[in-house]
Amino acid sequence: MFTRLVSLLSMGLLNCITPFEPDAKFTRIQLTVDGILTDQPGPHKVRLYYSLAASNFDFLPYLFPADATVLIQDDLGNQEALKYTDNGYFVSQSGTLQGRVGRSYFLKIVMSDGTTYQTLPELLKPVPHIDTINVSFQQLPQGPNALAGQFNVSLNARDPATKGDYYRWHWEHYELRKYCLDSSICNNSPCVRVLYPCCSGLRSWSITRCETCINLLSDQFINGREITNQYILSAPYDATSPYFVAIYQQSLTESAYKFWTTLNEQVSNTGGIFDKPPATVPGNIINVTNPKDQALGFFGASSLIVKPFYVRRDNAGILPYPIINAALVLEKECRSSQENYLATGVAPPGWD
Amino acid sequence: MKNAYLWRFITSSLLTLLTLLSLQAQRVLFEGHVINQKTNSPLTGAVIRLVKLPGGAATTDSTGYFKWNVPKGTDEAVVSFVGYETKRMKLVFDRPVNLVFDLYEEVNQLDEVVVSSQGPDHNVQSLDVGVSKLSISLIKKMPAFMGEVDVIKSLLSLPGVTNVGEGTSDINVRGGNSDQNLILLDEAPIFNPSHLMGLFSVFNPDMVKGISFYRGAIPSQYGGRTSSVLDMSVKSPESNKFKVQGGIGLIANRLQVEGPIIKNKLSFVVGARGSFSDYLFQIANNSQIKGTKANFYDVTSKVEYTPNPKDKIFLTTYFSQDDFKPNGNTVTSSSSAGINSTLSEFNWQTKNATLGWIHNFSNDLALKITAVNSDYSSTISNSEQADSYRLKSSVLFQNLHPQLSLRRGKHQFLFGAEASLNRIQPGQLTPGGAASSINPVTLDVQKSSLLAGYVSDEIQVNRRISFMVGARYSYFTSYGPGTGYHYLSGGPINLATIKDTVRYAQGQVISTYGGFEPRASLKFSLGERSSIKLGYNRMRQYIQRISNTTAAMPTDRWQISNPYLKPQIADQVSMGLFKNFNNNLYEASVEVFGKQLSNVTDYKDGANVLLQNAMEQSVLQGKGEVRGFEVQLKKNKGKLSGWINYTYSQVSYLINGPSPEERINNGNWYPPNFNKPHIVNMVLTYTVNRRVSYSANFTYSTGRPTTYATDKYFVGTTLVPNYVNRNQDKIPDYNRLDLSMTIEPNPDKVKKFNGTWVFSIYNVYARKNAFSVFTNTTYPGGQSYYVNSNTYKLSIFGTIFPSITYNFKF
Repeated sequence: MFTRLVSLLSMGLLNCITPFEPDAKFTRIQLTVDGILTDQPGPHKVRLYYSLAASNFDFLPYLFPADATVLIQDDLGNQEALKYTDNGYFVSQSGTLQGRVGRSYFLKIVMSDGTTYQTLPELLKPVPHIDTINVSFQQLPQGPNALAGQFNVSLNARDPATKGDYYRWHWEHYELRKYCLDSSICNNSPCVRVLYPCCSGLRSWSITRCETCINLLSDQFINGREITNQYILSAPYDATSPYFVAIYQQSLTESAYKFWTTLNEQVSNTGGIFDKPPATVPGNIINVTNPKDQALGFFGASSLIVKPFYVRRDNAGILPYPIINAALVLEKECRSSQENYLATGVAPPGWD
Repeated sequence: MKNAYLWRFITSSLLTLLTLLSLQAQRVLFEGHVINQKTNSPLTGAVIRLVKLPGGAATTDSTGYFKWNVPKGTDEAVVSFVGYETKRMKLVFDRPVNLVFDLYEEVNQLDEVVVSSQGPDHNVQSLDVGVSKLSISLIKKMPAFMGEVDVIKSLLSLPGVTNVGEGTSDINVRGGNSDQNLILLDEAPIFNPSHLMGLFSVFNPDMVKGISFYRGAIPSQYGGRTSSVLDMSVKSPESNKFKVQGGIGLIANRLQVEGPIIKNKLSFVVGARGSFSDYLFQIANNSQIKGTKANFYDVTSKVEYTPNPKDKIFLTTYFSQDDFKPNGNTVTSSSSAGINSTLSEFNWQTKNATLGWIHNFSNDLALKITAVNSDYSSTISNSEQADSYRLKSSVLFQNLHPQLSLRRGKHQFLFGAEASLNRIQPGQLTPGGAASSINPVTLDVQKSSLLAGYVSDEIQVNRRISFMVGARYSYFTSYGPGTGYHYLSGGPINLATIKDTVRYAQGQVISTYGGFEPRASLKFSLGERSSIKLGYNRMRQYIQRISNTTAAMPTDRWQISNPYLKPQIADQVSMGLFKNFNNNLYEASVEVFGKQLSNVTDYKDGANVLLQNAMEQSVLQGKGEVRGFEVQLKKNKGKLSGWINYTYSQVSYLINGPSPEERINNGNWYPPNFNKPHIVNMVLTYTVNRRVSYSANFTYSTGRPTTYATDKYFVGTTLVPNYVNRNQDKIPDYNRLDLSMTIEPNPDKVKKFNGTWVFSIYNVYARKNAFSVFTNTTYPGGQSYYVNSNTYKLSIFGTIFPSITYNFKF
């Protein structure tokens, strides 16, 4: 009896989460800006598109104001027009556009009907160096499809004495792959996945990122001290070969930090008692023509440093669980590498 | 001599209130005491009625004494008190009568008074409007979640009471916020009534004697919160023999010991309750909660000293401690110096003490003085991450409260004064260890004092009309040391508009607020079994809890009024129609209420309240309105007893400042997140025989307001829901049925040891009630462009919960 009760209870303690489609309601779409100017060499990209309906079905932007005029301007009056490419992207052309520490930047958008949007000026603040990168191995509990362990990567940096410094980190993992092009041919369904080898002298890397990691820090509680063991990523222990990762450390302004923290709270809500109530993420785009109109997103300016790093994976003391990949069947015809969000033919900085 | 002075002072100060009515001829004095037959302890609030005088009644005071001028002749006296057998006695009133009525406790009475309205027609005859008195014996029979009898959760079955969802111990009363309820345990306020993050409330049911719950026409002796008063008294100890009782449950075990130290003079009672719920989390097959640590205990005690029949001195202490640590994977937590609520350890504790002295100068004049010390503190800490930290906050409240009650003819006066000190430490951040890079931060301590005086008079004009008029005056002062800010005029209040910083010296007055709080109620009998009542009260609240999470958290901070955050004021008018049928077997009532709220507080979008020294930068104030009515039908006795009620209540806020940053919902009216317009509750008990009874509890309420996204957009690869108008949508409606069965010892067998079994089932039809609806971004392909942003419903207790509790007494 008691055992049965307890098992019923433990079942009950599962918080239960079920999909839910709210009643159909009026949905509006609005101009959205997503872009950043860094002190790295260009080209710099800004994406403009219309937001998506709040249903469980729409998931990719499909409306782009391709005929808008987009300018990046600084506090000295210098400006450069960006040119529309595709998918909502406007790209700098001159090759000389590069953010400079201490300058303020804003974006000006003139739509084809004359409606003008402008972002609030963002000061490009300096960012300190990454002092050290620390790696520690963590064994993981056994289970189906589990890894033997992971390498937790963190960094140390020195926060400057000034108050009001804000940081954001992200990373990209590059892995050399055995093919250059991965495509699907869907002439006769079902689709067939086709892989093409690289032509001689060419290489291709797959790129892995953490889509859900918004890694932020304010110096509110640590001003002027060492930022120690700032967690960056966990590299999976699926092989003993080094794991190449590019670590990006960038400066944020206070308004950018607020934008990112509110955004992070909103996207990490899990419905529980700790949740922050829904809130508008405070963007920095203003409709100059009609101030009552809301536009979404943020145009930021950041100093950015990149630290390439190889995570050694041959010193864990235990063996990795081998990942068995299906044998790759390559076409005979060779290709050059895909260039997209998931793959590149250009060696990442620091690759050797 | 002293009494004469006091009386002269009182009459002179109250001449305006007195409506002197000449004594009617042909009456004799009927006085006496009502006591517990077993313990000889006085019964306060017992009702004495005469069969030939259906409109009138006398009630006993804190010494069990009553006094009544009754017409000459023969009559039958009916003496009743909740939880006791009613006593009837034929009397001849040809000369003054002085009697002692000893009442038997209703241990196994079939005709148990289910809801404690002191007399069978108390609801009609008393001045109470918006008042509920619950007996602990009834609460113990109601089906309880995991078998834990819960005082606060049982209030949810009363009309006008809701909460934001399961798993919180907060209540929202007639459209009030959850920090607007004054929760008193022997006069000491409880700042956080939650055990286990809100799964259970902090009151040990064995130690609570009486529960009075005021949500309309709040009497003038109460102040400081605008919505309701939950006044609980700790039981008086047995003064002539030792008793032990306890209970074994799935969540917590209870033990209580009481008895005399000096027989009939000095006695004590100690009740302790402790959880051993960790094991439940260990066996759970859900990785999210496996390894969660959650423990609590509380100890309530009372010592009573009765040196002579005129004096009583008591000391009540209450201590509770909670430790809660969710099982978070700390390695993958994002930032080192982030204070992340989901990955930290929470500890909170309450240390309360009340020292009281009751002195009866005469049968008509009594003085009660209480001194209260309430100490609440909470800590959120993380010792595992690189930058370990400890964030502590606390509230210390001290109060001295003399109160004089006086009966004169048809008047019952109450005079009192309160002087209290409040000391809030809103946040103190310290590094958790030598390796931590955390810089210590200590926010300014908020110090304030509150002085209040009150007077009220309850007048029974005649059999038809009685009324109560009262007033309270409260005066709040906050003191330095501290830091304040001046802001640029005309603009919003935020970090960017700070004009200059002001430093307040030790003891320097920072701000003062004060004002009258009138209270009144009127009863007009329409006949023997029905009455109309009107009530009005104004309440002022100078301290509030600041929260921007869905449910209140133990770590939420308290904040006193400052030059920018004004005290909240509520004016409530209520009107009720009360009617009893079938010789008081059925009670029916309709109450209509309306409230005007001033200076209601809500957070700004994305507000940061953590370690914020200038709270005015994170919250906004505006006005609010509540309208509603409550209908209830109750059956008091018989095999089937219980009640069913329906509440309609609509609360809306308007926060419309000059600039967009100072507006919520674009400056339009909106419902706060606890607004639930329709509530239906049903509590039924079916008594099979003197041993076995069944209870059922059904509740339905409208889903609470929430905000759904109007659209969504990408920032990088993150899909962000966009919310525009606050609380314009609602989560699905809530409904639930609970059942319980109580098996009591055989009343025909006199045994030293008595055991009671309680079997209960919570959420019988396993409904997945929504606690919240939220949007979450997922990446179906792992690493992919193709992001999904889906809406989900979270149910906290989405299944059936059976439980067993065993209680014993010897």
